[in-house]
Amino acid sequence: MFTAMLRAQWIWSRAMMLFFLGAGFTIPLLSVPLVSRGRHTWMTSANIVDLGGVIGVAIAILIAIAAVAIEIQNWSVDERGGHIYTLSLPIDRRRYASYRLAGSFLLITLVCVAIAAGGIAAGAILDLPSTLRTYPVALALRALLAGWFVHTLAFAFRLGAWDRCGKTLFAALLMVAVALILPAAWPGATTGWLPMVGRLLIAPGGPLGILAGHWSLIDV
Amino acid sequence: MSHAIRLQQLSYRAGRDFALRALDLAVPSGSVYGFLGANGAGKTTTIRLIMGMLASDDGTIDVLGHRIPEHVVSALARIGYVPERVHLYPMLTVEETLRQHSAFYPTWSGRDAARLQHAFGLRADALVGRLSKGEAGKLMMLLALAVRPELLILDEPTDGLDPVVRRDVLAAIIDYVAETRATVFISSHLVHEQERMCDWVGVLDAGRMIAELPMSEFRAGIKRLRVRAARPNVASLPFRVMSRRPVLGQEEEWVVCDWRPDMRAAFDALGDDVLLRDVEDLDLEESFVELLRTSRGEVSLAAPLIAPEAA
Repeated sequence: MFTAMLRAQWIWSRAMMLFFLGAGFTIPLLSVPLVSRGRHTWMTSANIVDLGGVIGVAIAILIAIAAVAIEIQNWSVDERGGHIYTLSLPIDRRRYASYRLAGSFLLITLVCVAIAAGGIAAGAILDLPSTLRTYPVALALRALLAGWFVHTLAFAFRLGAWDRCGKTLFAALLMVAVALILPAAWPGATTGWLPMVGRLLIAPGGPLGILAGHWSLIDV
Repeated sequence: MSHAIRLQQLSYRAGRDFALRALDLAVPSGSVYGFLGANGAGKTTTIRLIMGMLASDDGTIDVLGHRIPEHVVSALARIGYVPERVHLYPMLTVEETLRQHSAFYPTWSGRDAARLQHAFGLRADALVGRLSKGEAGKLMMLLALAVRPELLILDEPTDGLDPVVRRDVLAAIIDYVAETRATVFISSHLVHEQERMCDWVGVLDAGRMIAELPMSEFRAGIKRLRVRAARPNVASLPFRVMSRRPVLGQEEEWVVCDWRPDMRAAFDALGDDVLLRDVEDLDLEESFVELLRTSRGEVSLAAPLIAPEAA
């Protein structure tokens, strides 16, 4: 069953996947012409490291978009048919959902393999000190974990009842509104807890920690 | 008698305007059961409850001996289902759809699938999303039949199909039933179609079952009588008068149910003022319409006779 589901998932995602695979492989390679040119002109080692950071951020954005896009594509196919086909199949719903999730994880893994391949190729092409070449695989692994995390988050939202999703989103928007309105309305109001919550969310080990912090293809 | 589907006191509410109320339904094993009802009567909702797609508010559902929704997976493995609208993945080809579907059913017959695909003229490389309505209907029927089900649940399977496709689809069902003695539960408002196929009929109206009986009894029991009458007391008759309509002079047309041929004698007891002129068979559609009109109270059984000149 899983193979059949994965095959179907690949068929309806393949055009999108080809784009993400291409982008995942290409983004690390973009550093090659830039660094090569830079070495003969204005680029310093610090600039090269910064460029690696920019590439890393681009990869973070790519994997987040890929994870959400795969999730949307994955379930919109079922939603179009009102989930009737899925519900008529003789398979436990939880099992079906976990197979779908596993299939999506595999697709995200493919994008990360492309990122790793692109990073390794870029590292091989560039004439850089060995200390600057340590990150392609680590970056791809981090992208993998971040991709899985973002996808799981989106999947949980989609799988949950709409009213629950609505309440969660409403609470998030309310917090943002409070952060914006409260200081304007009451200058003395204490809103220091809001940035603290934000920091806790994105701190290493926090629930959104994997998405924050330093993404870098080339680093020291 | 064993039952392929049995609903007892099933209730389900969807919003403020629609509810299934204390629905009792029993589909005998091996029967072809026509589930009739006007649009919006609750046929599709009932089917979705049977398939475990919706959760009932009250009552019990048993399908092929499995309690729903607790054992829905075991039941679904033995059911071939054709929904009222195309529900398949539009990006897959016919061949890919067959392969995908077959993975879920251990009873899948590749030989039957190939035979039906050929019979229905479905191209293997055609995209499901680009199939015509007729082709999509054939594909859904193919998928339902190729799993070799013990129970076929068909929700308006021929609605909107042209006569040629409709005939192909119905022929495939009939062939399958003749071969396997499977139970068929077919929902439709196309009454003529049901009349040809079904041996049991259930009529649903506004979420209530208003009739459930063998087709032969349904057809034999509902008649149109042409009567010359002058205010007879219909309550004293041994059959039920569902509607009365004045026609010519003192003549009326009565639609009656629970009719038996020996009931002609009941007219003798009413005296010379009431004469039974003729007894006509009604086709299923006419019977169905009369049943719905009676159920909805559009026809007052106690209404006094209205003379043609007064009407």
